[in-house]
Amino acid sequence: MRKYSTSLKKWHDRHCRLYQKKKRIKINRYLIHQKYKPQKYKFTAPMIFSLINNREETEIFFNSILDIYAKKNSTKSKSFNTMYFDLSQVEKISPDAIMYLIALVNNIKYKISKKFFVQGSFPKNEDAKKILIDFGFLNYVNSQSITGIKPKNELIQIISGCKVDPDRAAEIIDFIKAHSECNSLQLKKIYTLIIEIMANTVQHAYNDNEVLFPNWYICVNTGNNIEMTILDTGSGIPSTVSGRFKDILYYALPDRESRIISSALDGDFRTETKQKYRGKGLPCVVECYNNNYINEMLIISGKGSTILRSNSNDRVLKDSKESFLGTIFLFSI
Amino acid sequence: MIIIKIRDDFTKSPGGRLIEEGAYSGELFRNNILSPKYKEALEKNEKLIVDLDGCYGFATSFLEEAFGGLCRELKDNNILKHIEIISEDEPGLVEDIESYVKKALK
Repeated sequence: MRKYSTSLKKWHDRHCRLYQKKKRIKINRYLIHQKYKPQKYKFTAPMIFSLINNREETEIFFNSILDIYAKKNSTKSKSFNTMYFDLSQVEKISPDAIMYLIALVNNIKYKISKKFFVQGSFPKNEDAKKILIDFGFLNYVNSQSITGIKPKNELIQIISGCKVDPDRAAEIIDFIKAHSECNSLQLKKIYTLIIEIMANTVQHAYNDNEVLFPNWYICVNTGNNIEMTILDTGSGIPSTVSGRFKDILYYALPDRESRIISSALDGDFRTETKQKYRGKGLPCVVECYNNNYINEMLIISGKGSTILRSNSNDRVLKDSKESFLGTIFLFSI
Repeated sequence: MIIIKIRDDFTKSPGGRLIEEGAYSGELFRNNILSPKYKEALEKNEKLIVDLDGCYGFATSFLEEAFGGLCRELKDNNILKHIEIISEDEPGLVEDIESYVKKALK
C-alpha cells in the first residue's frame, strides 16, 4: 500500500508538472502571437508628392515607412505585415517621389527580406495618376485595374540597376540626342556624368544600411527642357565624406549638410575609400555644370540640398528638418 | 606601331572603374587590352597608340583605372613615353590622362 501510494504520488507530480508545462507553452504562444501578429500599416502621401516641391512632407511620408520597416525588420517575427501606401489624395507628383516609392517597394519586396506585403491606391487626381503610370510605376508593381499601357516616346521611364550599366547610359544619350540640339561634346560629358553617378552608387555601397539596398534609378522627360532625374539609394553624400573634415570644419555652421554637399562637389573631401586617386565623381558633375553642358542642377542628400542655377554663380544651400536617405540629382539640359 | 581603337577593340560605351562595378570597366580594359598591348609594344620597341574617338564618353574613373592603374601595376609612371593618346572628340582627355599618370604613384 505504501509502495503504491509513493508511485501514485510520483505519477501525480509528474503529470502536474507536464500539465503545467503544457499550459505555460500555450500561454507563451498566445503572448508571442499577440506580440507578432500581422499588422497593417497605412501611410498617406501628401497632396504635393514631390521631394523637390514639397520636401518636408514628402520626407516625413518616406521616413515613416522606413521607420516601421526598420523596426519590424529587426524582430524575429515570421508573420507577414502589410504596408499600404495611400496615394489617393495626391494631386501633384514628380518623378523623384515616384522613384523613391519604387525604391522602397523594390527593397521591401525583394532585396532585404520578405516580411511585408505591399499594397496601395492610385491618386484620384487623373493628372497625377497619368504621371505615375507614364513614368513606369506599373513596371515595378502589379495592378489589376490598369493593364496594357504603352510607354511614351517623349520620356525614358524609370530604369534601375545596382551596377554601372553603360548600355543603359548609351540609351539615355541616344534619347537626349534625338530630342535636343546638344552637340557631340555635350553628349559625351552627359554620358560621363551618368556613368560617374552610377559608379558612385556602387562604390559607396559600403554602408551597413539594412533598409535600402544601394541602387540607382534614372528617368528622363522632355518638356521645355530635357530633365533628367537620378536617385542613388546609397548612404548619401554627407555620411560618406571623410569624417575628419565634416566634424571639425562644419559641425557648428548653419545648413551644415548642404555645405558638405557643396564642398564635396568641389572635390574638397576624400570619400570613405580614402584612396588619393579616387573621389573624382562629384567634381565631374560640377564640371559639367561649370562648362554649361547642363543648365541647372539640384542635389538633395541627407538633410542638405544644393541648387546650382544657370546665370548665377551663387549656390542655394538649405538644410531640411528631415533627413533623406539617399541622394537625388535633378539636371536640366 | 601598335594601335588600340577602343570603339572597335573594346566597346563604344565604356563603364566605370572596377570589374565588380559593372560592364566594360577600366580594369577590364587594362587587364585584357591595354596592359598586354603595352608590354608587346615595349618588347618590340614600338609606340602604342590609344585612340579614344568614336565612343559615347569616358568616366574619369575608367581612364584613371586604365592608365593610372597601369602605372600602379608596373610601378612605373613613365608609361606615356611609350603611349600616344588620340582624342579629337574630347581633346581635354589627353591632359586628364597625363595628370592621372603623374599622380598614380604618389
